Amino acid sequence: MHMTAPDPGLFAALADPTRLAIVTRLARGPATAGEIAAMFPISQPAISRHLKVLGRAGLIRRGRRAQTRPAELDPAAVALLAGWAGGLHAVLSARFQRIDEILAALEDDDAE
Amino acid sequence: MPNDLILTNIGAATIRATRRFSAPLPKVWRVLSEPAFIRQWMGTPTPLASFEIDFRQGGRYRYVWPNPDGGQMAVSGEYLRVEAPHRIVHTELFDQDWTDGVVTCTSTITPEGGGTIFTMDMDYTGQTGRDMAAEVGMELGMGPAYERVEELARGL
Repeated sequence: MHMTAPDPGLFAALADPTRLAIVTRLARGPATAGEIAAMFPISQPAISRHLKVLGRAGLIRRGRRAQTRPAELDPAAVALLAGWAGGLHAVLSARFQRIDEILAALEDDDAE
Repeated sequence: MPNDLILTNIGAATIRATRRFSAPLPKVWRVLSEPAFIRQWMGTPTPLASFEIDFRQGGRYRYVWPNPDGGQMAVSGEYLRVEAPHRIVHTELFDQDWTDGVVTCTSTITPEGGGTIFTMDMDYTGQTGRDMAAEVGMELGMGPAYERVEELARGL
């Protein structure tokens, strides 16, 4: 059972409902601070501060378009997070398959 | 219903694992509750280096796996409820505590057709980022955004 957990900094950055919601929104594609602000009952400067925290954690990166600088998820961070959750799936899948094998052996015992 | 493992998010801090077994409930219960069997499936994919278990309500367990780097990984906990053959509630805490606190797992075993449905709710009581990250990761990795992840990963 080997799950390589991502840097705790990633989790700390996500330990906020607004930032979690921002990341979930960005999973659908890039968005500007203004577009994100329109989704939440908080100010655009507050959104910008959240984006800075997510940026420092390496979760998102900002585009180069001077005026709007859309934010997008950093692919490496996303792969890390998805892989971590996927690790849980892989470990449990392997265990349940082993249980299938044990059960199959039990069935054979009964048949004899 | 196929026998694939399904993980879903329940609320903000619970991951539900659902798995069907083709075998009837009494056999599934044996494999889930008898220490000789638990040792086998808990030691998958990595065989256990150490295994201590007292499978009864109030009993404790501790499993240790070797790590490729020479260290070890261990989890321990307590059986809070054992209600044969339908329900087990146990706690788990890794020594490294990457879940930010004790996880409470409620396993429910119910018959379905000739087979058995096993459901385990893993309640991450810690309200910090790890469980949330697991939720995000799961949503990204296994939900509708899966293609997006693949697309992003391809670009790495």
